Amino acid sequence: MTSDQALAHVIDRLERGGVGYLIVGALSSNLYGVPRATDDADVEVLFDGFDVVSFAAGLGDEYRLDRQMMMEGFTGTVRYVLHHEPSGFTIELFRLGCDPHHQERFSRRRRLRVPECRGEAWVSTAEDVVIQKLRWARRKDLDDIVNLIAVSGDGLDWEYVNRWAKVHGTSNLLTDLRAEAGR
Amino acid sequence: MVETANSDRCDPPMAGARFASAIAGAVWTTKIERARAMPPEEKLLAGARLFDRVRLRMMDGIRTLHPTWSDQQIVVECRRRLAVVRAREELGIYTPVDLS
Repeated sequence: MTSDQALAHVIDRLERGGVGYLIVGALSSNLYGVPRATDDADVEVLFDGFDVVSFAAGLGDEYRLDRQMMMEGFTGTVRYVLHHEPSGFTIELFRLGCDPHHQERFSRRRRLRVPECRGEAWVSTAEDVVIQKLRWARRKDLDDIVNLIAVSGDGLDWEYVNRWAKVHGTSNLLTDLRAEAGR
Repeated sequence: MVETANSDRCDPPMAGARFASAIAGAVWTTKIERARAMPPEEKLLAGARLFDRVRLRMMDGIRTLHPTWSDQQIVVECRRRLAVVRAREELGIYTPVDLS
């Protein structure tokens, strides 16, 4: 099984299980920007009644759940890491927490037709990709934002992006990146 | 200083820089146009597909450096290298959750 198939299998299982989820991170920035290689998929999951251990066990022998939970420092979000052993690809399951932006991001998620995922998958909006990556602000995040704005900037709801950038204190960075993207 | 049409001829490094900048601009424009033309469903999974290609190239490189290594040793080394990159990227962002 290749990496994209490994991911599609996980999404398929979430869909079949009726689990609330949302694809975020590099995969979602690839969707609106310029695709780049990534060794992981970030998936935010609504943990109401979701048992991550049982879910991982149901995926099959090729998957291994990392026993060590991790916490992300900016938002306090808890992360579980699923390793797909044959491909080396990882699927990171983030527990949807109380972070106000994450809550709104989840409510704004949209459906995307993805034949490999048995029809459709839930994905983050382009605006929410920009807002989240501004918070992380690692070198690759900044490149992703510039690419995303250059590719999809015309259709963005800038009022929404600006509102959250102000809340997160990332407005100046956003201004610089928009200038770099020529928008 | 007022630049003339012959300025580059007198300043090869400047001409080289302009040429490089023009190439970079053209590559950037092409990259953006191609990304706009790509179907969304293809873009969503492109990152994982590109990763598979990168991983294969990485394993080829390791095999070249260590021709006597077994396939398993090459896979282990590939994993180690990816883990190093991941650890660097996550430094200061993620902390282990202590359940004890």
